[in-house]
Amino acid sequence: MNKLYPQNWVKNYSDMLLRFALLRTNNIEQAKDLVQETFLAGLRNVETFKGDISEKNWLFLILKNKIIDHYRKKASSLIVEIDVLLEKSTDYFDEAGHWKESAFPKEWGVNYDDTVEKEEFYEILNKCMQKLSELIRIVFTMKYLDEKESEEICKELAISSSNYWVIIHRAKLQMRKCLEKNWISI
Amino acid sequence: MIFKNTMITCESATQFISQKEEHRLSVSRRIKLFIHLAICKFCRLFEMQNRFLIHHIKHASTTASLSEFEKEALQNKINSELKK
Repeated sequence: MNKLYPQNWVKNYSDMLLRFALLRTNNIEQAKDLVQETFLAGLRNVETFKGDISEKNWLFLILKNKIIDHYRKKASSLIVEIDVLLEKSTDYFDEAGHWKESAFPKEWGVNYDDTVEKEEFYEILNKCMQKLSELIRIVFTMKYLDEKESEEICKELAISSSNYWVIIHRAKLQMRKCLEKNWISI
Repeated sequence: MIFKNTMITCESATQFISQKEEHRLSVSRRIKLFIHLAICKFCRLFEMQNRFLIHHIKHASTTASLSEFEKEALQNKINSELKK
């Protein structure tokens, strides 16, 4: 049977919760607020803790719910971005739908089936994610960091499935380009 | 005529790649994508690099942490709530 020890929460969990929140919000102050809200919500709900999951997993569940609430609020105000996204595919493709010469994918000279161990690669990956505009970053994060189904993402953010595909397409084009530019050139 | 109907643009091909990854691509589209990838090296690269990207994104991490001062303040807040 698991128990809660709120007097040790900060020492034991604050950094891992903060990192989890930061990767998903891209804003350190926001991430700090989410960690604090998580602890305070935990305190208010101690009686709901049945001890069937670990203290750590229970706190992460609270944080994940807080992040979803945060995403929902953001998404409803960002949905106007969609029209801009639709126009912008001209960055990559010409009128005939072919790759523009400036956007031709280049050979990276890596084995695409290998896993990269280098820390700097992950820093660049992070930076590229941060450069995505907010709505794109949220959808991309939900899909690939949290591995949610697209239906769930559409439902949670109240976006249509066609918007989802536009956003995911845009995210991949931009991430691929950003990695190529910043990592391969090292 | 067959030729015209089977050809898709790179823009469509890259969209199909995303849909294929989520198993949302119809058989006819899968065939069109297969043919496109056979003749277009840029979209082949896009597909491989996209897979590579998705594989690695799960391991994204940060090293951020709260300062000792922030930790103390936060724990004090929790302690005072506990006393209530």
